[in-house]
Amino acid sequence: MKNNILQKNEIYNRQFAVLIFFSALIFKLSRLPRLVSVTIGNMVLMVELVLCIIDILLFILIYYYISINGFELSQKNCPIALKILLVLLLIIFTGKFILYYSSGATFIISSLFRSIAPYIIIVTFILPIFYLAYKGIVSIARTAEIFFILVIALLFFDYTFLHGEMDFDRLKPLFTMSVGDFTVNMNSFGLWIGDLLPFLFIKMKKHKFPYVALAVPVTYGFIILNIIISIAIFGGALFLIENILVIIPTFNEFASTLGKLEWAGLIPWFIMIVIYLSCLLWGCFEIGEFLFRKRTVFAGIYVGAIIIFLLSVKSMQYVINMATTQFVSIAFWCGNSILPLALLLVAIISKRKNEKQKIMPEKENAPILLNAPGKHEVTSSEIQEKNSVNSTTIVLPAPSNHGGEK
Amino acid sequence: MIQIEQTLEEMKSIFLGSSDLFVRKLVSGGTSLAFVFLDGLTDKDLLERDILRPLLQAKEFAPPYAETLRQTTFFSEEIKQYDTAEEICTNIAQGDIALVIDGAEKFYLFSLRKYNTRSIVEPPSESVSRGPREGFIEDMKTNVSLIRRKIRSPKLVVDTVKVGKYSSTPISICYINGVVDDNIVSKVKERISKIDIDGIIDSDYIARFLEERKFSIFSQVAASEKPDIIAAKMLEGRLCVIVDGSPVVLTLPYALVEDLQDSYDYYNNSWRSSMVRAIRLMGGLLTVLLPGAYVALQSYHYQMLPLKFLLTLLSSIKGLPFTPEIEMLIVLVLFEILSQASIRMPRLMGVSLSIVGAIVLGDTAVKAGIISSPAVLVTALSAIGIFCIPDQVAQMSILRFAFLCVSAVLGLYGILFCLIILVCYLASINGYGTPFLAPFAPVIVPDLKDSIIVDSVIGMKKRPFSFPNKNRNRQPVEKTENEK
Repeated sequence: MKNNILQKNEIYNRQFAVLIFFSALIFKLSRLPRLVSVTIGNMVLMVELVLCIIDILLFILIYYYISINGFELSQKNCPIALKILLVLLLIIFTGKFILYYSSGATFIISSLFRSIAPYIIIVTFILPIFYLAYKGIVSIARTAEIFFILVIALLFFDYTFLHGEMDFDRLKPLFTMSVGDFTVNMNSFGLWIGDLLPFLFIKMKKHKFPYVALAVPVTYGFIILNIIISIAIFGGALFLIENILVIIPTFNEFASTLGKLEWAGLIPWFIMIVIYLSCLLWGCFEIGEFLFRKRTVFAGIYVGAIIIFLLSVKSMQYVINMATTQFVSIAFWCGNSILPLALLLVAIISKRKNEKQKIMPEKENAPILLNAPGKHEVTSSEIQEKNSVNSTTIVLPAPSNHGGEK
Repeated sequence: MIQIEQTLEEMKSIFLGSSDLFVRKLVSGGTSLAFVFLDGLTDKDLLERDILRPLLQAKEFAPPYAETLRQTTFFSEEIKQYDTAEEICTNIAQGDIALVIDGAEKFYLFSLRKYNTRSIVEPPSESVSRGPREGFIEDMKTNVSLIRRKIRSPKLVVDTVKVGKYSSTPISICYINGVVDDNIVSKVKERISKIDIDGIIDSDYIARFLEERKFSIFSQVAASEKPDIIAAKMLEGRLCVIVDGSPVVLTLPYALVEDLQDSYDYYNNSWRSSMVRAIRLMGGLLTVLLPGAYVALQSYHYQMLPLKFLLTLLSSIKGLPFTPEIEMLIVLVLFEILSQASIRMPRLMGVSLSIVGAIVLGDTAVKAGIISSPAVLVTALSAIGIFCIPDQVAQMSILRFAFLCVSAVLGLYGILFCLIILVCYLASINGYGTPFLAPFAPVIVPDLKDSIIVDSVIGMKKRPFSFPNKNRNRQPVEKTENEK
């Protein structure tokens, strides 16, 4: 049944493109700029640029992994290595989910419900995320597809009628510190890379039009463009802006007639955060299902544990602050960058093993086939038929789910 | 060998002495015969003219009786034969006429059913300004003939089964062979054959058995009372289920977008149709979201409202005894009560009810300062919008309350939260290989021609890709240079 994971997780490349757009964009635009601004001042653009480049490189690995059916191959040929890597990935995903979730919940509490008890938001915010994640990536992708039109329409509205006083001189100087200092400071942002890692477990339906190839430059281009606009509007005051996606729409031509257009940013932000967090949680569920086999039980216990943890911590801000500590951040750097590489490596080894296993029986059967009357191209079914009829001693490797490492 | 008196007694006892069981005895060619049937279910004129009269005039009536009956009577259909009184009584209950012959080996059955049915009229729930006005009636045979008049092809297949322990309701599955997907036909037949119920009164009974999600608030089977709609859907590759005794015909597979479609769209200019569909969708969204959004904005996010609007709103809600959520709940419940009362009230009283409801209750309540005029306005907009998508009235009504309750607790955040769950839920439904939200999720580009945008009939060269069907081509498609 394990192989069914990929069959059931099959989505169209158009849907994948939408998920990439939502996933890559949401935290890099909403919460990260403020954090970067607070940490290293006027270098938001450079940090975002570096993080985007790393994310694109990681995505190339993920895409290759998906295209060679890496998960399926690793399951067959290197299950133990895969299990170890998935346990590590689950830890990274869990950490990422808790931190991102806290970040989202904090914003909801601070911007929408100052008077409401935080635990209500913590508990209710998980419901749509859990529901989507439990339903699976196909449902998430379809939901994203539906909301994509709304999100794009609102973003288009927000940016087309943007009416902020932009001064592009505020972008200068691009570098305010040495490369060494910059590298050291970059250590704090390990959490914010590898946002597309949950998609390691999907299977993509091919389409003539390269939606995914289009989505990646468009998404990251949009992020950078947005950061440029934000710096041009806010300059050094960017550290005051809690969520760029929600604030930008308030600088709108129509703000005077339609009221404070916060909602035009709030709606896309909320949709994207729910979709992305559900993808992340879905990734955890997939790993959980692979490791423990009981998806429902795992999902229930896992989400329950996360909620209990979040309810028991001092404050959500305390959890978010953890993300910027050196240890946690470096752990995320390593996890987010090394794990996809390791998974790909395991997949490539598995692929080679698989190819070897395919070649082996053909070689072993060769003498029999040459003796066969009327030489012709022989199919594998004919080989099996011949083996059974002639009772030869050639043993074909038995198909197995695990395959086993030899 | 049948002993006529003894058998008639047995048949009477099977019917427990029902007073409408009619026995007509006669002697033909020296042989005692008896016709047994239920009064009111058979065509007595035909019985007398085509069967009784020739038999009475016959000089000889001898075995083989089946052949003799064929030679003597004017009955054109097949004369069925049964071995036992129980079997024949089951058929009598369905309106057939049994012939009991003294000394014969078998019972003979004539099907001369005749029910009083209403005439074919325009269905009140689907009245149109343009296009055919005929509607289905309660008689299945008439309904099948109405479809056959639209699709005059031997490829139109009608398979009939009987369902219901006591009702023995005939149910016909109609489809165009070579267009509809065979797997869908067999799946529908299988599901219908598995129904074990005492009786089927209406096609909605069957609909519940054919749905993928049994406890969903969303209907997963399309229904219509108009033959042109059903025929159009069958031409797209769907099958229809006709239940005897119901004027509502079901079609499968179903996607939610079907409820946005109306026969009017296809008989009109496609530009106009596209605009109308967009408005219908807007009406549906307003119905579900507006009361909740009004409460959310008023209770939690008033800073988002334009200042002038906020001032007007504040002046109109000044001094109200209820919170916005309670106020909206009261108005919505009041509206639902009025709506239910107006449906069930005798038509003559309807006018006075609407006067009482709209003017007396609404106006007085506003003037008395119990509810605000914006709340009445929002409810009125929502109430009108609900009929933009008449097939989803029940669902939208429930959702409207759900969104109101959630927004009362969690504001705009609650509405979004509920909307995402709702869309995800709908996106996860797959009935008969058809995504419920197709062609929007997943996006099926060719089918977008008949979604919110409506292409003209000339442009719809292919059958929908949203659901499985055998033959995609509706019109000859010009081959591209490469294909040539």
